[in-house]
Amino acid sequence: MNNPVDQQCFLDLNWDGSIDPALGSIGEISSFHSLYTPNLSTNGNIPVPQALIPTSCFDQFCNDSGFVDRAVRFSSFDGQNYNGFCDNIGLMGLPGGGACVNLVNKGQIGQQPAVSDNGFGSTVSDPSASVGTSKKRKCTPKGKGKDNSKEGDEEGKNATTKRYKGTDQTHQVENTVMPKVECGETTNEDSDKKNDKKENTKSKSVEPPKDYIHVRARRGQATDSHSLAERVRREKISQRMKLLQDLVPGCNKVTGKAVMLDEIINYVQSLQRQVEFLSMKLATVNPQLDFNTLPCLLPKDVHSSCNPVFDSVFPVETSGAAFSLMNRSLCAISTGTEAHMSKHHLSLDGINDIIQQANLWEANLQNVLQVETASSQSFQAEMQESHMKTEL
Amino acid sequence: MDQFMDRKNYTHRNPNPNYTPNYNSMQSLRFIQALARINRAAPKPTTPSRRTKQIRRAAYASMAYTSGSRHNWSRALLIRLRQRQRLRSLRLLTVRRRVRIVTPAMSRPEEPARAETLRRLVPGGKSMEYCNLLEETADYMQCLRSQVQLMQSLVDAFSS
Repeated sequence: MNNPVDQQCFLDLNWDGSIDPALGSIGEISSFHSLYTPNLSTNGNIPVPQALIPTSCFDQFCNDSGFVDRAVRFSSFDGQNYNGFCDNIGLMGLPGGGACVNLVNKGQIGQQPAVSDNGFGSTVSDPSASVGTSKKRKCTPKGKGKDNSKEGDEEGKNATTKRYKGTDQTHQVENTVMPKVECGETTNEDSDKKNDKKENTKSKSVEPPKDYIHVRARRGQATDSHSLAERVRREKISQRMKLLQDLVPGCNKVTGKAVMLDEIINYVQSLQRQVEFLSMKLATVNPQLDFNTLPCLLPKDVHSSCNPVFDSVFPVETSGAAFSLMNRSLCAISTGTEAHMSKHHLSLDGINDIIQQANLWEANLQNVLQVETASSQSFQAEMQESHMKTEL
Repeated sequence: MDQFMDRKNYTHRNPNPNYTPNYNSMQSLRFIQALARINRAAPKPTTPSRRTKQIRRAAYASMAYTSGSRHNWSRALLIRLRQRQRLRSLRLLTVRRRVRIVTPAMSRPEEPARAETLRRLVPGGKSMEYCNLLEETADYMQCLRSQVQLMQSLVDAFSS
């Protein structure tokens, strides 16, 4: 274990359990940690293999479920950003902390981890880099989003730069197999305690003891209720934005919430303006409708398909202008809208039913009209119109 | 308008066994009935602008009635229509129109800046949370689109 090569093997193989099991997992981690502490204590015994730690073996860490179990037990820190965390814990106090930090540093950023405690806090304070790297660690953002129920938004957004005073330690334990390298003290509590805040069944890590003040949780989701809830909320919002993206035509290429929102607003405004414009057109078109031109309105196929409807309609029909309009418009709509409507299918059956229902309604209306209009002139005009229609 | 818009009256009179009251057919029926009513009143001297407003009101009413109580926006729209109907009958509407309740723009800092515009567009959007607002916007957009298609086909039928 003193060889750099061995250390690399150690990193690669020992976590599979080749270490003396008598040591137990604590021993493993402490031994692992001992590899790194010399770096801090300027002990020249073990050349710190930090430069030797390849990112590939870092991935192997992720894949090793045994390591994950051990890590979970001994740490409660998310795999993303250990730097601020290790500020608090001190490397000696936490067996896996330094190791985790170093691993993370190597795996994520590729920097040389700082030698001193202060260095840990200061050097690897690169939150943005940590997001993109180590995709295997990136298990939680999506999953954790569902777990959050009641968290504020600041922590979620500014996780990297904020300091979580007192309680919060940023991490979540996801139920998926994604391994998380966690540093922390309250390992036992993590597995035992489940947060009951969330509606999800995913286990939440409990808040660590109050020793930790600086916790950066860029990729790791904050454990406090505010950021968890905020993450859930953001997940919902992103789902709905996707739904809206499908609805608004021509928004497939648009990315980003702000542009999408602009598109949505423009589309709704244009639809409302179209309603206004079409209502204006309908107001001008309707009274000018000439009955002589009505037969020309309908295409032949609609005519044929609607003929049985007309036959059933005419006995009831009282040839109110509106009613004839309604008939033809319904038939025209059936042909016109079938071409348009993809989602809601307006079938001819529906149209026929509409017409039948409209017949009933119009029959009642006509009775009322007959009572109202005492003049025979209007009635005779209506009868003439009905004759015209029967000729059609 | 309410008496003719009752869905129950129509469904039980429908002889077609395959009839399913889907959204578009209900909306078309209501809107065309409203149009018929407006046209029935056409012999009275109504200016085109007034008829435009009546038709637009009928369009939104048909949308709102067809959606019913399922969505926030339809409920808000129905409430607004009924309020205006009552006020119109009392001739108080002109005064009411100038009253605007100003919601503070900074009341919801975590939303994007355009969210307030969206709230103004979607009926009932002022009091909704942002994620509910997005959901309501989606449904409102669908209803608006079907209404526009309906009116467009009507205009095409009448003007061709």
